[in-house]
Amino acid sequence: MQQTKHQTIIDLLPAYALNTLDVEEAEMVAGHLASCADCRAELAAFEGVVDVLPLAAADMEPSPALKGRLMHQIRMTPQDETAVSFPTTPPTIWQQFIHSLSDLIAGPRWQPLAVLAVLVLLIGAFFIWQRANSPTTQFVLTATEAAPGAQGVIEVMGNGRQATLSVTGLPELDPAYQYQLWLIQDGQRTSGGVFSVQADGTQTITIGAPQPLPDYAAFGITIEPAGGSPGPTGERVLGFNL
Amino acid sequence: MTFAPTVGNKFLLKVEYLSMKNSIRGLDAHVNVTHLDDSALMSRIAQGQEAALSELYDRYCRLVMSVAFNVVHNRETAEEVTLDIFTRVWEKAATYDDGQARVSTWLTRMARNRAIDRLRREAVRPSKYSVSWAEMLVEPVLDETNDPETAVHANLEQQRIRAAVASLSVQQQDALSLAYFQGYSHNEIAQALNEPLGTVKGRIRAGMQKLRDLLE
Repeated sequence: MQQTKHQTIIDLLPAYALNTLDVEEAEMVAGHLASCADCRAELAAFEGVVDVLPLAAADMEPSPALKGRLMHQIRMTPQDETAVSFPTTPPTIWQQFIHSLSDLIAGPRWQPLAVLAVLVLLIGAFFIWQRANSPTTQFVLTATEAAPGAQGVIEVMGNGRQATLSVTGLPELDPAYQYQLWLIQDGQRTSGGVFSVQADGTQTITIGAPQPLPDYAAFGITIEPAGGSPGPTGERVLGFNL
Repeated sequence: MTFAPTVGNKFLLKVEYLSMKNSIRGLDAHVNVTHLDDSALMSRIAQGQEAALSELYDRYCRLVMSVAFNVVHNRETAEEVTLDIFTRVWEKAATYDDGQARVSTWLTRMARNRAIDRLRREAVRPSKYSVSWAEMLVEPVLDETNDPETAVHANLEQQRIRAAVASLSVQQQDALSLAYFQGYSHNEIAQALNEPLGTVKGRIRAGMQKLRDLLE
């Protein structure tokens, strides 16, 4: 019986490597792979084929202008893991203003007076803005070995109850699992939200907290069954301790 | 309590970050990166060296564009995907792990996934199903400025892969192209080709097994 199933799985491995199986078949193969080293080796061979398959397609030349667009675009694009990281949330009005200012400064040379005027306005507006708003508090979450490329930032606004969590670089999970944020105080762990990441590993959520975020001693994000758990059960991927 | 940067702090840090990048950019002009291998290029991209990204683009833009085009079958969209992939390389270079996959594999996986995502998001079904599998004995792929030994090796490998695919039946090639480039399931391939499900499964299995045997 086991041998029959093993042979069935072997027949499905080429399609599994291509990600062509239906969900039920894929789950069956995944379950078998966990306990069968022979099939894992066989799968690796087929995955090698999948990886080189695109090399067999005819090359296609992009238009010459595309490279220019790329080199221009990266000058506006911060890199991950640099001294400063910026959450991938939509730009705030402030960020849009800074961005517009950068574009202006890069403009024609005959605009220095306009630039100066904008700078004066900018500085004035900044101080007015700072007086009118409570500062944003950030908690930068550190990646664990389970997700070394991940980053997370909790931004707390106003009275400490309005907060968002932005993550980048988290692996997309099987639909049966989701990430869960934990707010930790005196050993008690309260769920701050359950979320999945987009295909590019990013997500931003609003945190639901029963008390102001700065009152918590630590934060953590773990992998939990879809819908979340009453308490953390899975692997920790990001964390922060005061 | 932790350091809590205000918006003002972030602005100053960003200015510092951009000026640091500019100084690195100034060094770029003096660094010859064409002789570097792909992993070394990735390290330099992670350090913010634009010349390294420029070189990586020159090496692989045709491959990435080819993958994207064979998925979306629209030149403009394929260029957008290509632009997106190399921008992501710039952003994520520090997360690249050469122990996990070769750079070309990393790029083609990203290009395929991103292009298929785009196709699904826009709910577009391309009118054309077959892929432009390359003719055999085509011109060299890599830029002549690359290390000649590496370029020759890569071209030989590519010729071997193209020969292997060309040895499959047309029906096997079509089934594999729908699976790989369109991300179709067995059922979707059977519908697209108007063939029985069992026939499609058999073609994919046999095609993949033959490729594995030829490429081992």
